[in-house]
Amino acid sequence: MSAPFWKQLSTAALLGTARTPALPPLPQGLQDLALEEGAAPEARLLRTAAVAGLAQIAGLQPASTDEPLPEPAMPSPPGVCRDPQAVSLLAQIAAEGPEALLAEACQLLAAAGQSLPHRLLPTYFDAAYRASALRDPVMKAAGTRGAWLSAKNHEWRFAATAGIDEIDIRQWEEGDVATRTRYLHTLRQTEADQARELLEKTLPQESARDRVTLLGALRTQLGPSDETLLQTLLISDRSKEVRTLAARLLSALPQSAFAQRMQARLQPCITTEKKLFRTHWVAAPPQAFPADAAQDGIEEKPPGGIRVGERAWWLRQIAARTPLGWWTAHTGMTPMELVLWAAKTEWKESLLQGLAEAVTLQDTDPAWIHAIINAEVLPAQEAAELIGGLDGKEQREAWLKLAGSAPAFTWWLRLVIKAPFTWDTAFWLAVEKKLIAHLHSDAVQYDYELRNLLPELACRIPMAATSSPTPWPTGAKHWPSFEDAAHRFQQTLERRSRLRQMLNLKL
Amino acid sequence: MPVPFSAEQVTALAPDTASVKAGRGLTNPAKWPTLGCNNEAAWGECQGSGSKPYQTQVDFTGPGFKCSCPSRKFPCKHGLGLLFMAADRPGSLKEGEPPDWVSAWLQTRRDKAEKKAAAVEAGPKAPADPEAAAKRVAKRLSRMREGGEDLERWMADQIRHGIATWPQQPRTHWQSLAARMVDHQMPGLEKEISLLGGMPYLGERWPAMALMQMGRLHTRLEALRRFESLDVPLQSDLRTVLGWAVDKEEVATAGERITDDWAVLGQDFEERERLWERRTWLQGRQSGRMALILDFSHGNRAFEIPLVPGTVIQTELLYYPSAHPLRAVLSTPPSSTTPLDRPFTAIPDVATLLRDYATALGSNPWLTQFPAVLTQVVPIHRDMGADQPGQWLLRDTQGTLLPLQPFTASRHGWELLAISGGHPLTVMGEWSGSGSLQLLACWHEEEGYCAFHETAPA
Repeated sequence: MSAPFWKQLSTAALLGTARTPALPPLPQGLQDLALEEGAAPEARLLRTAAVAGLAQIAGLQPASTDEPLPEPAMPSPPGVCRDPQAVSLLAQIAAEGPEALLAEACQLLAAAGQSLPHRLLPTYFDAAYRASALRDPVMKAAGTRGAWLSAKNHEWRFAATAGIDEIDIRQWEEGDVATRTRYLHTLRQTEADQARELLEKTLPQESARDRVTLLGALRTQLGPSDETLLQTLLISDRSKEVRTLAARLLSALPQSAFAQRMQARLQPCITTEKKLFRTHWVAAPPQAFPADAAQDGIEEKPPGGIRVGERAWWLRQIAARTPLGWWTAHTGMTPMELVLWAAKTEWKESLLQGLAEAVTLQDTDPAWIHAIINAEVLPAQEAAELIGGLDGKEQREAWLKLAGSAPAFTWWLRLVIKAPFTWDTAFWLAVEKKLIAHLHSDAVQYDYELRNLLPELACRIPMAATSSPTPWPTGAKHWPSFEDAAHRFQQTLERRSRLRQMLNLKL
Repeated sequence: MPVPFSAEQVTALAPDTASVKAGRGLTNPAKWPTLGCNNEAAWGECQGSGSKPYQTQVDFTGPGFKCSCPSRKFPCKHGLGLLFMAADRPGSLKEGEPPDWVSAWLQTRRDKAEKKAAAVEAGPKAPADPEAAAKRVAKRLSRMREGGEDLERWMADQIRHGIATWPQQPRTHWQSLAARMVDHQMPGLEKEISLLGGMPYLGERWPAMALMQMGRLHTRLEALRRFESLDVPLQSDLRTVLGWAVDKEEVATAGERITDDWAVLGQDFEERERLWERRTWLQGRQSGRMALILDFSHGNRAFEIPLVPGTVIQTELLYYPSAHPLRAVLSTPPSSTTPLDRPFTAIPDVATLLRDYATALGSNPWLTQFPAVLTQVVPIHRDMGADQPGQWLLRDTQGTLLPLQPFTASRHGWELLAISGGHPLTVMGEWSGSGSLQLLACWHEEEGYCAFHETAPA
């Protein structure tokens, strides 16, 4: 039925047959089905609509094309996982998670030289679209079919550049402050100068809070060419937070004029003294507030919340802003020796706080991090952020040490699970022991986060350690409410081992 | 041990996602003090919260479930868990002779099936009192015709004065009329009239849509007027669309019976006011006939006879009388259930599908859902820009394009495309009068049969 036919029939119906009794004629061959001329016009219209409507459905003319078909994928690519039980397991994992298990499944598939079953590709791509940590593993297991498929969905475009965060100037021009900061961080990795120039241009228009956030992006690939901007901000920015951040960033540039000034201020405070026949290092804060120190962001009066003497406060700030390299060069001590020494001085608090601040700020070697964490001067949160800079064995030790000062077991557990280092059996057994102790405690009753963390925890356990079952405290008071979570934990472990069995892997 | 189901098919049987999860949780053999199976069934005892373990059994034929747990869900998590285990870790079930409680149940099932088959064999009972039945029919017809006249008057009145004001009308404009149709024992018309009220009154197309809908009502009323002169099968089709149920006795008397191996090709669920409707499409191996099994369930998706897409069941179907018979019921429970390798027959192109549908409409003008098994079609996705949903189509070897129903395609189109890799495959779907194909399943030479379904949320 043609469009003009329906248009004409619609017009008649809209106005009403009382006004326009004229109807479009039905096509040849259907006219027998119309009501005769003498019938009431409204009945004739309804009959016409009924016949035409049915004819339209029965005689549908589908569209057709002679365009060439889109380029197909390789018909039967090798290595696709086809074992029905493995496919079923991969589908369950995709449906129930946790995310880390999806990543592991993909890594194991790839290690076995296999790729994801075709049917499951969309599910795994969607998961990777939501969680960028999954993108690399999913793409490694996607095979040629996955590469072909992902190019057809714009949400899955990450597949083409898996591993590299996609960077688009629109994120900078149109994004919110978090997006813009991310953009700057990414751009800094490849085009540090260009990123700084963008930042410099935008700073005058931003609020103080946004200036601090955006300026933080300079930490990525911080270099001597950033000094001029930082120095300008240090002297002339209206916001104290911005000036403080600029000072901290400058201290991470040992060659900057700022760092040189700080070293010159610290030098007279750390001196040697002869006692009997031995030379000792001693520390003493400046006698008077150093000239021009205020320009470098050093405050004369300690803020209200910190109960400390003025001179101690000056020493702490100077120590925090001096490049750590200066300490080892000046004293000839190792970081660990320096920290142990500082703890014995009269100015212990100022020095350790200052050093700890310097360590959190400057990208330094693991020796410093190790020494500072050992000294237990940092709040747990900041210590946790530092641990990543250590190597495997030291990280494991540092984490266990941190558990003692952590605000809550689950807080600690979450960080340990997320931290990218390898667990060995001893480490898992130590975690398990703490977990069981925690499950016995009363604090566990409202610990809903722990219930969700258990399956994730199961993904971190070394396979070698999974043969001995976890001795759950089934008699503990709050145990019944953890049964379900423990079950999911067990299920996750079991799925991990079944994946390995099915793929014949000994990882 | 041949379990005729994959884990995915077991998932499709679950009444909701919570049952799937709970069933999955029971796939640890340690939770089952006893576990066993043979060629016909699987059984096990599962430790629940009570002192006595639950006795769970699954008859592979059908499948049929039974469990001593108090759950009102069907199948319950124990039955699902047992079947999940049989599908995913066949080694954990020990093959052997069933214990008494299992063999007794299986025997009752077989006996019942035989009894039912014998009853079917013996033929239907004669109606109790043909005279009274005829009287009832006459009474109902006259009641319906009164309602028909009411509706006809209403439509004529609307058309005489013009429908230009419809977009401004409140829903009540149609509601009271629709309610009167129920009073006149025509609930099928109530649905159709509600559609008029729920239409999108936007753009330029609505008057034509409204006219087509009124046209559909017009043909029903016209046929109702001539009811006595219609052939019995077409009378039955009219009764179906008016909502005058053809009861089982009548089906048993007048319906066609076909015994065959029936491939369960695809399944679709729809919910309306907590009433679940399940549509299952079957295809016969020898007969080549298609059949629609329609089931209803109130509250949740628990249907009496589990039908699993991707299996072949051996049974007798009883077709409802119709000018183009499609709807059928299982006259006896399936006597065997095996996995489906591939659809038995398929049509080669879109033109054939549309011609077949037009022919069917020629017999039954109210047919809105028509099964399609199209071979050699390539799924096509058209990207309509970043913020627009993409368009999904099937393309046959002639280059003819068939749109896929957008909602299901948005969920399963990517799976279809991933399976095909841009190469031709066989697609099963439900063609509707509105001009799109609802995706139900596909079959691929290497990937095998694959059903698209969603589990209902708990």
